[in-house]
Amino acid sequence: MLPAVKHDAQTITAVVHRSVELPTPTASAHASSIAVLPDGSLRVAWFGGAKEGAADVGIWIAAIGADGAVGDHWLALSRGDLQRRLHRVIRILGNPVVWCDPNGVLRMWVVSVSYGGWSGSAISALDSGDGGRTWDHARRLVLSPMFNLSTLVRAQPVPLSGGATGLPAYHELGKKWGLWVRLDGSGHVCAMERLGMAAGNWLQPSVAPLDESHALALLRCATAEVGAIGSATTSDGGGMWNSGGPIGIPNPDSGLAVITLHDGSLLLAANPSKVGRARLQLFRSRDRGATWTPSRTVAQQDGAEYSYPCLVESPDGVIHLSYTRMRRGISLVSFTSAWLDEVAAP
Amino acid sequence: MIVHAYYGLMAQCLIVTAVARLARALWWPKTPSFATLEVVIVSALLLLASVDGISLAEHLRGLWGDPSVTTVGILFAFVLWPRSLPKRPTRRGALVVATVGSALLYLPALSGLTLFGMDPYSLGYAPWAIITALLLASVALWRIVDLVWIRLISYAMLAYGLRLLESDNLWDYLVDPGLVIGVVVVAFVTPASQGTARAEPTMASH
Repeated sequence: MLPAVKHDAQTITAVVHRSVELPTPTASAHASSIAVLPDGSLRVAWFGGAKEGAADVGIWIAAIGADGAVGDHWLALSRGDLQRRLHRVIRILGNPVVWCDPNGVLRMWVVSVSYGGWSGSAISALDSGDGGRTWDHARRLVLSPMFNLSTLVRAQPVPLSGGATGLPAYHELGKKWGLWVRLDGSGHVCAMERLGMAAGNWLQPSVAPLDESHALALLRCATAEVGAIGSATTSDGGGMWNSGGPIGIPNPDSGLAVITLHDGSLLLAANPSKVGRARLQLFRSRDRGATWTPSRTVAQQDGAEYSYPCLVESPDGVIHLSYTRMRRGISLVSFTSAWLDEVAAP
Repeated sequence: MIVHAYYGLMAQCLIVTAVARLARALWWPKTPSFATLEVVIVSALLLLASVDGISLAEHLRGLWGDPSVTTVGILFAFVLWPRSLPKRPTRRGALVVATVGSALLYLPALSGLTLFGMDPYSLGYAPWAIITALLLASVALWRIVDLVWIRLISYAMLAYGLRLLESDNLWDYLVDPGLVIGVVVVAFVTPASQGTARAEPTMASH
């Protein structure tokens, strides 16, 4: 079952908004993910190298203090590291997802390709007990009977009851569909469900729990004729997912992120256009995803690309959003719900 | 992890040895055969020869992953203990198994189709229904099916209990795409009167 969503009686009223550009040790950077550590500090991971798919692409991590100060950054995982640990050839790395479990262990799931392109990917998992400096227990998640081909991750996991974890994943070879993978406390796969969707190709699900048994998944749309964010819902804690149809916000085949805030509302970060990723905007829903209200525009520039958002909320109520900036760097924006409430629309 | 790696790397050595022996049996049947020595030589080559910093076996493992326990059992028998393989015709049964296996597991995995809204592969993560069905089928078919198949399935379930493979899914211990392809090839290529035993090397070292 999904965990009960905590609705704090005290909502943070202070308006906080700060934005930083993370270090750019490589020419290219993409697909960031944020983990909140028990001390309130953050670890932001992304893949970076000469260019997407290049042999030198590795998983980089930057440390962000609880006060928002950018600390050091390091190469957390290289292609060579992973292939030595998994005892199999690895040609490409991508899409890291980092998350700190309730025991304080930093977990990372990462996409890797041995042969072919992204649609030949598989997911590997690693753990870190020292805040992401070193990584152990590398293992492969086997999620497909066809040579374990074409399962990928992108969005943040959801903690489940009993120490389990729900990991949104997706299949990309040929037809695209979303997956909900249930992992036990030690990271083993104990269940996998497909997200029932309307006709079309849907990928990169992001899941927001609504209560102990209900959750909403929003998905990137890879069918141009549809061109809108898709949705699926569960009412039995993730046992079965039914199509909720497109939600009315355009999607240019671009990644998105949705989370449940402490006050019970939902916050979505997406590129709301039919074409291009030039505008990254926030949307809010106070009715469990039935309707969405445009909120702040985080980044916008003609011809630019601001994409692949990741959203998390710290226990102190500060919301953190990371995203790819022009495929050259990662930006991190931190704000409170009060900052969102200052504007009804951009 | 290390157990998974040992299993996966040794399985690659077994696959290559089996392919080499099959090729020799088909095209050079009169050459002498030394099964154990061949396994050692192939394993040494695959595990010690390095390309891009990793062994050839690790390259193969990246290419097609780890085969099922059933496949490894068949390859092991084919290479080192060919007399244990069934001698009876297997063409029809093999085709049925391959067809049902493909329809159940691989078509949904490729096309996004489900059976009655369910992905049969996902059943393998909580496989009590599959285990029960296999046990019942084993009892029912005890006198009809060659005991070697029941033995292989038992090994697969034991390996699943020990989590010998990376996978947490029982299907991956029972079947893999290579096994399905192999079964179809054997069913079509070999004469019905000889079944899988047709490919046995003429001079086994045992």
